[in-house]
Amino acid sequence: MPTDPVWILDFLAAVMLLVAAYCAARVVTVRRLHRTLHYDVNTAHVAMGAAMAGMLRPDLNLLANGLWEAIFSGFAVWFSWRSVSFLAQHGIRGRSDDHVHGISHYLTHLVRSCAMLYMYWLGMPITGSRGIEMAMSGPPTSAGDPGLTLLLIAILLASAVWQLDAIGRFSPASELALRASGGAAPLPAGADRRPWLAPRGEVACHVAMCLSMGYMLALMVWIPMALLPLELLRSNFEWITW
Amino acid sequence: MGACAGVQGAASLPGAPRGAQAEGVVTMSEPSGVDLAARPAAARPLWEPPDRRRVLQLVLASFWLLDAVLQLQPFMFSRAFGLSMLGPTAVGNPSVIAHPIIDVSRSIGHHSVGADTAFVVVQLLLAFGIAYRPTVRLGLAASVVWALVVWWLGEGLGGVLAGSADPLTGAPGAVILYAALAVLLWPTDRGATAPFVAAGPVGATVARGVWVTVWGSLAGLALVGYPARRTATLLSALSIGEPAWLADLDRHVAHLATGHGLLIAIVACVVLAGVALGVFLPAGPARAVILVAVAVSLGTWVLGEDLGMLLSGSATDPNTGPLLVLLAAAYWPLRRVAPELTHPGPVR
Repeated sequence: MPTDPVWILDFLAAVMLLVAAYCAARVVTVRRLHRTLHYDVNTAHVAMGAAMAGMLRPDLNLLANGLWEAIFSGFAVWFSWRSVSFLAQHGIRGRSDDHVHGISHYLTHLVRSCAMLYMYWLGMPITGSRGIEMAMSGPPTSAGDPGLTLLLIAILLASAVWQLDAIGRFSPASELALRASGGAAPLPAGADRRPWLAPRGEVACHVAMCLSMGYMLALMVWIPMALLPLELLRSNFEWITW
Repeated sequence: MGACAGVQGAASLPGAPRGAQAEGVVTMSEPSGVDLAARPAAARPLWEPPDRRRVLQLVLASFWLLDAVLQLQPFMFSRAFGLSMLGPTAVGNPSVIAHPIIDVSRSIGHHSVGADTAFVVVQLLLAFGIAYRPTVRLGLAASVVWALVVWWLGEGLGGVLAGSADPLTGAPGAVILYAALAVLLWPTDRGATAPFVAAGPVGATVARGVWVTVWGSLAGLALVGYPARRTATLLSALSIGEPAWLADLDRHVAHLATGHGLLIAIVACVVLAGVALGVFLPAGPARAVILVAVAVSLGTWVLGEDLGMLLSGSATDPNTGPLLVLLAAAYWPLRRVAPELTHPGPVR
């Protein structure tokens, strides 16, 4: 094991890349496998995974921060609309037509999109598409609102735990039994009633994303250095260790 | 839990609410926190929404997850974590308690990265173990063991034996509450008429005893340790490393507390003792006492514990405030459900 805790940042970057690649593969292969999935959620996972990997390691950043902000603004608007339309259709305690999700599903993704925007607006370490190029022109003056940051962290961690609790809904035994019982199984989403594509894989991505995002938000509270270039953040890690 | 082990869909269960049947789940009388293995296989639901106890278990898992994230703070990877944070908890303790603390803190200090990484992994596993239904028992049992070890070797038994414990600033330590909650939220029921969630696994008498022990000890610590500490000084010291608004609040509270240490200790003792005894009241007054307990916990968390010092970069847990709120939630008197409205099985 490396003796330098900076490996955490690299490890999380690798996990985020893995999540992004896995979700991209899901979107690409879902029709070929005659399954269905939440296209919006998986696309958001791809974008968030790639963006967070770029935050954690500048050399992995693909887009300028302005583009990322535009992308996550789009996701925030999309999930806001989805939340509102869900409320209008099912009410606050209702379930979606696929019997799987409630309003929290859309609100969680809305919160994550907003959390991404929050991190970009506060100037998490970001590089441009051509090498290291700091997005910030001057020294940071604020780490954001610690209360809001803690609230976001709490929501993300709670979401991860609740998703893990609900993962049993998608076990093969559940699917088979609910099919056999004639009950409305939490399987199909589309009109063609195709089953979900590896729903537990999607939950695992959700959990990994929540944990990584929670940690990155927490870094903003713990070390205002997180607002400085990533190299300084890394050197801060090294300094504080030795 | 066995929640996924059955093959009979919940939609076919008699007595299940109509909406639940439509969704293939049971929401009213099939608590996910109870021992489903005791029921006939045909009556077991495959997956059910979290009931009250399961929700509390998940909150406990969230706290463990938060602890794991806190353990990832840069400070925790430094030698100072072992040598400057853990080591001093030995001070004032009997030698049989103190020596292992010193040895372990030195070892952690000298292997800070590896040790801290191991702590992160353990706490992640505890959180995931409780959150994942098939491993909830393992997760809760392991969390009891881990919490007791940390309470001794990481927190010096919360300073209880050292005479430095102050409930206003987090004594006797959050981690011992993790252990108590893991026992009280164990997913079995000893009887069908538990008056509150915590009474399910251990019975109402033992659960009330735990409540009296926790709050009674807080009351005792508030008064007994008073001569050895200075509350205003402690509160003032909390401001170090905190954001400006919280540091200002600390200084303001410390200013108000100056010269009133004895009065604060007496008032705290009386209120905490009242909360301790309130668990024996009938359901209505007991709810009021629980609300007082929640208010006291949150007030202490903000004013005395500085939000668990979560913003300081050196907190290892959220401190006792949120855990006491969770404990109070486990003692909230339950409304009885008429037997004919429920499916046969454990009823709260």
